[in-house]
Amino acid sequence: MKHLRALLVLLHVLAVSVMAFPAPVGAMSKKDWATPELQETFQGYAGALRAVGLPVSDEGLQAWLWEAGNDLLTVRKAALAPFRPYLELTGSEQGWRMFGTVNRRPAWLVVEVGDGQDQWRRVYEMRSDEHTWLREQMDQERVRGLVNGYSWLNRRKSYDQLSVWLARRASVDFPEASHLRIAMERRRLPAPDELRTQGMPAPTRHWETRYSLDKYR
Amino acid sequence: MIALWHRLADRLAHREPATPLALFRIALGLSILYTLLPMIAADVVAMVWMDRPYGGYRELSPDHWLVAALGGPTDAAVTILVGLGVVSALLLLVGLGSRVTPLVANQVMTALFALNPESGGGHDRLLTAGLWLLVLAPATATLSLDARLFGPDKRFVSSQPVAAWPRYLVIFQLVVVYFTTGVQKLGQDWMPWGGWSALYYALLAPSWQRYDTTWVATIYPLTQLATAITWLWEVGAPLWLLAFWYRATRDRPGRLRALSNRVDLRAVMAAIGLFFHACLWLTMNLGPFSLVTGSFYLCLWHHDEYAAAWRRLRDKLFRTDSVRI
Repeated sequence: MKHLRALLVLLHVLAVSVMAFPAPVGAMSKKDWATPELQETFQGYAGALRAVGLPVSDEGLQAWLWEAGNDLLTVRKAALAPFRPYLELTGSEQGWRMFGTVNRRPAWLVVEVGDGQDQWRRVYEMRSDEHTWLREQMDQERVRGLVNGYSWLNRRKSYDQLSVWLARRASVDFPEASHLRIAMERRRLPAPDELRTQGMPAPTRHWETRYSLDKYR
Repeated sequence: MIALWHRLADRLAHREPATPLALFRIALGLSILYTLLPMIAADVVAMVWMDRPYGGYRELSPDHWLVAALGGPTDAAVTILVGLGVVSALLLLVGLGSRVTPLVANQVMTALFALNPESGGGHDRLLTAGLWLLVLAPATATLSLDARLFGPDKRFVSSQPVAAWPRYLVIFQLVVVYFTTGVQKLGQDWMPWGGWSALYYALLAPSWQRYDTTWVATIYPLTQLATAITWLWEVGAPLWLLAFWYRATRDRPGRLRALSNRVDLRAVMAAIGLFFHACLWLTMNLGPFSLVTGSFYLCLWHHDEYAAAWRRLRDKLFRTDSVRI
């Protein structure tokens, strides 16, 4: 009995360990690798390796990492296959990738309503104390998790779906408005000195979409 | 090798009172409530977890068996699941239902988190993984109505020994989470050549801010220090296992072993972790992240240590009362 118990405990430990083994899951796309954040990261690592005397070029390191990353994912997939049903059934299939990279160019979700004459009134802005429409919902951590993806300018389809949901709500909450405009305002987060002296830089607008609210009334 | 296997099997056959597992059970019950009740209060259950015809913002296609059995992510199905989640959390708190309660909670929460994974966080899976460990553990052997009604002592608090290996698995899970999270913090902001600026930028990003944090620019060196400590501490999480090994073999020689036991390396590591979780909780809204993770810390201590701490607390309170009298 004690040997069977030890075997089962060991299998659980193995399953959890294989699942958690560091791997670039969901990160092996050329589009993601081209982002400034990752490019800076690769350059930083290549520079650090050169600083200790290793003759590594930025491009050479990236090519090697691309190949190694794909190989690792192939091995991981095969190693994980026998454990997957157990991990999925027991809700233990998480690989612990949390805050691996920090978003230095995040985007803030903003919502504005208008009268059709190109006069817009901002009603919601992420984390604002001034523009607080639906703040209770939008501040809830599940919705934060959702919008966090948009903050990286990822998940465009989901963003459009949420926009339609917001337009539906706005058609009820703002009977005087005829249109809704939603966008992601992106800012480069400043270094400490710059933040102290100049504050946050002006944003650039992305993913701006307009909706006629009459459609939802 | 065979001798090592026998030692492992013997170790896993060890039994001890269930107090740490019972505290873990209670903390996970609170974590479920801290997950579900704020969602209900903020009126986002339909928005996030129901299909579009029922108030959701998008079409959902979860592949969990329980959602399918209830007919998909409809308003009725999600309401039932959330209701079951709340009830199972309350049963975990009072310790009723033995291992059936965490099994129900595990499956219900796994089903709910499967509804819309893009609105979830890493702590969701830590919660369900913890609930599964409670299925393996006799965590209602004490501090529970099960112990009061059905236990051999018929008392709410019991010292009846139960299998210790589920507690070891909880500790192992905690180490795995921190270590693998640490080694996957590969962004250059976590590194010396990135200026250890990760926490500074993370606090400024809007997604998780609890309030305006532009003041972090005035304490930038502190955020750099915190970044370096966080990374080193997470990557150093296996030191916990070493600390437990040293405690279990305290009779053996070795200066490192003696030092680890003298300063209680296990408690030092826990204190650093809890301090950073408290800082995170104060500055960022990560939902039940810190509570879920903190629940696992409760298994770092043995029943005897809880009993001694309780005695000290009781004696202190008693003495205080005597002085007042």
